[in-house]
Amino acid sequence: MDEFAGRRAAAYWFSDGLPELAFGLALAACGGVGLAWVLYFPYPWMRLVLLLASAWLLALYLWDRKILDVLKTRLTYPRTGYAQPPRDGYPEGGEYTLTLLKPAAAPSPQNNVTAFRMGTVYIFFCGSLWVSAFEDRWGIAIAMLVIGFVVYWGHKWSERPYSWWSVLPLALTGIPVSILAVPLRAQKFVPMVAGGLWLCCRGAWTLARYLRTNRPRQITEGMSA
Amino acid sequence: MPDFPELNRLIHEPARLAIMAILYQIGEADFLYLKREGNLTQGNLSSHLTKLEEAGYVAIKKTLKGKLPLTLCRLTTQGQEVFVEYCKSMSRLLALPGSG
Repeated sequence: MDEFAGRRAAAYWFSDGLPELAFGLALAACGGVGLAWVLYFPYPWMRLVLLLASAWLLALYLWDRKILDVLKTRLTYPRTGYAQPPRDGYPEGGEYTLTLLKPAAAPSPQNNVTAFRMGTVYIFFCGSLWVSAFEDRWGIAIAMLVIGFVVYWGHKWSERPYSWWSVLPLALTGIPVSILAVPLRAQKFVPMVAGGLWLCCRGAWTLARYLRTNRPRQITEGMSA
Repeated sequence: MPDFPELNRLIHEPARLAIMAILYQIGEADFLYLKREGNLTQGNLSSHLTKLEEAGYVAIKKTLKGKLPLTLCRLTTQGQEVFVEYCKSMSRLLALPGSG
């Protein structure tokens, strides 16, 4: 099977669940503030709160490597070691294929990639914009089914494939929202809230498992040679 | 009869091959990561890294990340070229008639 050169680094980047947890919290907060603004607090000051939540999400979107690196320095690297963080995006020049026995060339940093921001996080953003186009009560149910399918299919061959049963709760979120007849103007925030909470749950579970599996080392790292 | 490709014996050793392959894929990693991924002991990894460093294939830098001491390892340009050449030789070897 063809693989990115940096598939190993990208998989390691997600092994502690911190990226999913951080982005999940940001997405859920941003969507939650938007939802509260539309449903319960139609006051002008809520625009400021929404703006601040959006700024936080944007900051994480732009500088997630640096922010997460600070967290990982305290949590992950002392336990399982440091590996160069992957870049976000896809390699330039179509260098997609590499096997151990057929290296096309020395891997550039561009090959060491993940597609988390442009993949998972972006899907929930686009989903929120897409839901706004629906004028029907059941639109959100259909939209969430599609979003769930895209999340599953889009990551099927990535460094972090999601199992169908883990995506199922996300895909079915729209049904209770439709049954409860949430106002259409509030439905556009549902993909962000649901996606954020889903990522938080996944991240928290992964982090708990990582911490249980990898106990802190007693001796500080070093090389005697 | 086709020529039997010559393999770089320094890389051909399993532990050193694992180190080279990991660093080729990741770019840069610390001592602890290599130890875990390569399933090596501290002394074993240390001696293999020293050999690779002496050959000019691996560059080792000791640094701090926050308060954490790190021994960062990365392949040099020569190391990358040698590894690619090794992989090509191995491919040729495996493609020889009668090799399955």
